[in-house]
Parts: sequence; structure tokens; C-alpha cells
Amino acid sequence: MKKIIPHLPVGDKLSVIFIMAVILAVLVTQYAVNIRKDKDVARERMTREMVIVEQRLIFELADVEYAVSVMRPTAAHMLHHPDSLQALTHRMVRFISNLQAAGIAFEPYYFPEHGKWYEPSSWRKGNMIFDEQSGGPHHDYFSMDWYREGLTADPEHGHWTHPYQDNTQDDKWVTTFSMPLFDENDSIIGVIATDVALDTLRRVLKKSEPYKGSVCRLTDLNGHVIASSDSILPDPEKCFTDSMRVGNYDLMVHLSCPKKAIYGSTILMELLTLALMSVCIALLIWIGRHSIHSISELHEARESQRELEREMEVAHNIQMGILRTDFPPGVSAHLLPMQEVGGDLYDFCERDGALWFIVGDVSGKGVPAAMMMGATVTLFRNAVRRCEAPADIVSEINTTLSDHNPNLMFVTAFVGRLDLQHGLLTYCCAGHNPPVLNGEVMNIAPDIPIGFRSDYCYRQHNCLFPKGTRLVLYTDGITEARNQEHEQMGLDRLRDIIRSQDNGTAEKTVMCVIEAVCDFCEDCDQTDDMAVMCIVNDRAPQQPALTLSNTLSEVTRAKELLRDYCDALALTDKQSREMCLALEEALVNVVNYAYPEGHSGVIRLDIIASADNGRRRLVLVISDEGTPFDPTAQPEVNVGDAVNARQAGGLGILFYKTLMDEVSYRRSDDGCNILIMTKTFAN
Amino acid sequence: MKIDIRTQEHGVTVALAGEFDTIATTEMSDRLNEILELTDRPVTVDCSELEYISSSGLRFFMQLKRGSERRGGSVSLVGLNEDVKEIFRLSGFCNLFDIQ
Repeated sequence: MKKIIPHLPVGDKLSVIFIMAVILAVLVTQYAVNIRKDKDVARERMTREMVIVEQRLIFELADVEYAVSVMRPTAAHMLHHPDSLQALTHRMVRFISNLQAAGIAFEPYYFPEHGKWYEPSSWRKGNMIFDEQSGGPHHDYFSMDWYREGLTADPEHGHWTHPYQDNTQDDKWVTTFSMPLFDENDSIIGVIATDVALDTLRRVLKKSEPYKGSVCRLTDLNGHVIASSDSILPDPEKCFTDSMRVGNYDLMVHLSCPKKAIYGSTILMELLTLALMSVCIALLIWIGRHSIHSISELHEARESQRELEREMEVAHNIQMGILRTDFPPGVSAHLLPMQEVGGDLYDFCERDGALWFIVGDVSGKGVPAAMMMGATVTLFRNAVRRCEAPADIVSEINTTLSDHNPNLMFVTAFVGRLDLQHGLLTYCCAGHNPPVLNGEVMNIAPDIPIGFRSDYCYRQHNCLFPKGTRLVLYTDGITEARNQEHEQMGLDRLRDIIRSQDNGTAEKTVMCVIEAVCDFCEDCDQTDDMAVMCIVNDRAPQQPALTLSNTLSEVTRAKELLRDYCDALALTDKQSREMCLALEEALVNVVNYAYPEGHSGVIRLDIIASADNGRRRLVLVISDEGTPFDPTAQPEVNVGDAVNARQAGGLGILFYKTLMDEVSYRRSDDGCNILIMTKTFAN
Repeated sequence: MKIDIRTQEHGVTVALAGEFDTIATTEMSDRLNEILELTDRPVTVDCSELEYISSSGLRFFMQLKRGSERRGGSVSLVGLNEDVKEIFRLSGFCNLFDIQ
């Protein structure tokens, strides 16, 4: 049986799921990495931008420091002309755009002529620069941070004050840079100071906009906003903000960038990623559900396969049940299907003192072959009840199977009728392997297999089957069985095995053949079914053979039987017809004259055919219980007589006496006429 | 056994086919009378399809010949195969009939 494996591409689906899952995992990772990367990139960019801002701020502030440090020696040279110091501060404010104001404050009474405070200074207001000596009780700079800290500051680097709101200058945020001022004796005589209007740094901040909508702010260390690139403060929720100190100054720069702007560049990519992920997830769900469906399908398929296997087991039992095993003496058979069911078949039946049998092989294997096998066996059983000849049985099976054979299957079969009592085998071979008769492969011209043409006329043949004759029938699964070297069992090997069993029973012969095939194949799996049948004639002939009533139609029946024997003896058509004529003439005489008209009587016919040492012999024995009549004692008819002179009878006796070698008559003790006719044929 | 009787202007042709055995002869008795009705003309029996003949079959021929001779007709046989001819020879019938 061919194993039915349902087509379920579950493996493919699982592969697809696996691939989709991998894609999804990659996408998720990429998405996470992207977000992280975006943040990193944004932060990096912001930091870079802030560093630029910071550097610019430092540059601006350093510009001031540089200016102060350059001015300081100039101021020191001008100490002899304190009034001209005013011009110096003016120039400073004028040329250094960042400067809100510049002043040079001296220690108390340094210039006694100017009193305790002396601070020539200049400041900017709009486009104007104003100069004045601002020190005085109203502006006691000695107590101010920028002055005190300036005095003690590092002489080389000076000092920057904390940013503060200068009440003298409209509360503007300023930071003051101050450096101590030395005289020629390197004594500290005052402080040179410059105010930087921090809001002027806004232009520096405004240059920095790494992302659209960015806001850059400058604060003091406490977070007081000194300057901002935008008047609107960013919403901390919607922005990424980064901060850094500006050099060593007490200033912080903050850069806030809207998240939207940062991710804006990658948002499309992320949307695409999200869309892809969604598609993947949807697909995964869909395939997952399908897979579950497939898995349940697979489960169902396995269930149905199990069901099928159970059914096949039942089918196997049914098929084995079809095969008869109640062998009569001298008959045995064995069938080995290679799958649960197969197409080989055998069957037999005893009827009218004859053994009717069939051995066949359906084309193909498995269930279809098994069904055909069942049909063939059934048809054989039906036909064997009615048919008188093996050819008729084959024809009947053939007609039925050919007419309803859409799949063009065919059956090879050997159907035989073995008249054990008379030792005559009549057979019809429909394309089947030639059986082995007495250790020799039968030389037969087979007819076509069953199932091809419903109108095919099958022929039948006869052969003598005397006591001791052994016939082995088989299917091609036996001869075509292969071993590990791919050699075939072959007909010669089979014949040799059968020959080795010359004296064994039919059962032993069958088992020997099966064992030999199994030994030959060893563990090789065979593809074809095997069947063997053995028939041994172990019955002594019983007399009489044919019992006839005294009617003319019985003569026809007797002639048909004789023809089979003639065929079995391989007589020519002419010889066969002559034997039939002799029998007919002898029988007609008995039918017509042995019993009184209107009385029924019995006529027995025995046909003994033998073929020993190349001499074929046919003996016909006719006996009746009628009126004693010795045909051999009758005067011979004169064949020279003219038509009108000829008598009605006599010709028949003439015929059989002429055609047979020997004709003898005797009246038995129990009151029977016994006519014995013998003919021997040379080869 | 088959018999085919064809009446022509110049005679009657009787074609026999198959086995002319005892059973066939009993079935042929009616056809014999039918042929005898026509024996005012020459009768030709075509035996080319005749495979077998028994003494009963020969008796049919004898009756045919007697009947036709009584009416002045004649019977001739054509197409006999060797086996049938052998029976005619064996029975001496070959001397009684015009065999061609």
C-alpha cells in the first residue's frame, strides 16, 4: 500500500514565521538603536554647538581681558597725567564693542589732588559714550566686589566678578573684569576694570541654532538668565536641554532643542520602521493563526492517517480472509503482500471431481490492486460455478473487468481445471508467468492479460496430469525478487528449488519456495507481492471417468472431453478428429441400440491417456449394461455396394475399427458390454 | 453445423459448414426434405467449410443422393478437405458421389 502523506506545508510556514520573527527582532533592535543613536547624535550635536557657543563667548570675554591687559601698561605710563586717563577709558569703550563701561579706580588718595576717590571712567549709552570721574561718596567703589577682588586678583589673569545687575546702568546684567594696576615700583595702586554688558552676548547666542527652534541661554551659576537667543523660554518637557560652564567664568550656557526638531530628520525613517514592524506583527499573527490551523490540520492528518492505517489493517485482514486456506489434499498456496494489501491472488474450488484454480497478479500495487484482486477472486468464484472450461472463466472475468476498467488496470492469470481422476489439466493462461510442471517450465503461448479487450477470445490448452505430477504456479514477485546485489531470483533458481522438492508434499514445496525467496533476498525490501501455489496429483485414477445417459447430446459432451485429452497428448487436428469420430461412432451405436427404445440407461466412458517414453497412447473404454452386442463380431459392410444397396448401419463400426489400432469387446461377469479401443501415436 | 441453401436457375447449391456429426444430422432432417423438394435441378454441395463428418453425416448424403436420383437429379460435391475426403474414401462413398 502506498502511504498517504497529506500535503501540509507546515515546515514552510514555520520557516516563514522564523524569518518574520528575525526581521521583526532586527527592526525592533534597529528602532531602539535608532532612538538611542538619535539621542546620542542630538546630544553630541548640541554639545558641539554649545562648545562653539562657549568658545565664542570665551573669545568675546578674552577679547576684553586682552584689551585690559594691553591697556594696563599704557595706564601705568600715564600715571603722571591722571587727567588723561579719561581718554584711555573712552578709547577702550569705543573700540571694544562688548564693553559697557571701563574705568580705572585708584587707591584712596593716590592722587591727593583728586581726593579719596579717583575713578576716571567711560560708559556707553546707546550710540553715545559718556566720560566722568565717577568715584565719590555716592559711588564708594572701595567696598565694591570688582574693586576689592580686582586688587587681590592674579596680576596676570585678572578677575571676573559674578554677573550682577548694575543699578547705575539701568539694572543691566554686567560682569566686571578687573586687574590690579601697578606703579613703576610694582606696588598696587588701583584697579583697571571693564564692564561687559552680558546682553550684548546675545548675538553670539543667536548664532547658535543647531536645530530649528533651538534656544540658547546664558545664565549665572545660580541659573539667573542673563541673556537668551529668544525671548520665549523653551518648554522643558518638549526639549532636550544641555548645559555647560563657559570656561572658568561664572557663566553657564544652556542649549535647548525641541525634540521634534531633533527627531524630525529621522521621524520619517522611524515611521517607516514602525509601519514595517506593524506589517511584520500583523503577518506574524496571521501566519501564527494559520500555523495553528495547519498544526491542527497536521494533527487531523495524523489522526486520519492513523485511521487509514487501522483501515488498512482491516483491509489486510479482509484480503487475507478472502484467500482460502482450507486446501484439499495435494494443494497448497501462500501469499505474501509487500504492503498491507496487494494485488496477487489465488483461489481454488472443487467441482465435478475436478480442481479449479486461479493464480493471478493485478498490475500495480496497494489499494487499487487489492480492490481489483478482490473483484477478480469474486468473479472467478462466480464463473467457476457455471463455466465448463477455464477459457470460459477467463473470458467471463475479462468481459466484466474490461467493461468497467477506467484505470486500465489488468490482471495476469493462470486458470486451470485439473481432472485429478483422469489426470488431465485444462488451462488458460492470460499473460501469466509460465508455471513449472514436474520441474520443467511449461512451454505455453499465453493469451493477453485480463482487462484489455472485452471481446478477446481466450484459448485453452490441455496437458496430462497423471498421479505424481507436480505443478507450481507463482507470480512475478517471486522470480523478480532482488537481493542486495540487485540480482533477480529468476526462473532458473526457482525451477532448481522446485526440483529439489520432487518428492515433498504441496505444502512443503510452497514453504520451500517462500523460504528460498526470503533467504535469497535477505533483508532487502521487496516491492512486489509474492504468491505461490503448488498442486500435486496424489490421487489414484478412479473408474469410470464419465458417466453418460443414453442420449445423443451426451455424445457431444464425451467428444469434448476426448478433445481435451487429444490436446493434452499434443495430437494433430486430424488425429484428434479421427479419435472423436471413433468415439462418436461407438457411442452412437450404444446410445441407439444398447437399451430398448424409451428406456434410459447408463453408459460409462473412460479415457486413459499416457505419454511414456515418447509413445503416446489413448485408450477409450465404453461400457453399458444394455443388450449384449459385440461390434467386433459384426460382418463388415461392403463399401463397394451401390447407394441403393447400402444398408443404414455398419459404417460406424467400420470407421472405429479402421481408425483405432485395436478394438476389443467383452461381456463382463456382471452383465456389461465393454468395448475397449486403443490407439498409439508415434512422435 | 451450418447449412445454407441457395437456389439458382441452373441448380441448387447447399453449403455445409462445421461438424456434421450425429446430433447435427438429426437437426438437418427437415432441411434435407427442403433440399429434396428442389432436386429436379442438379444439386451442388459445397463442403469447403465442412470440418468433420460422421457416419450419420454420410447417411444424410446417401439420402440426398437417393432422393435426387429418384427425381432424376444429380448430386455433386465440391471443396472437400482431405480429412473429410478420407472418410468418404474409407466408407466407399467416394465411389458413389461425384466428388470434384
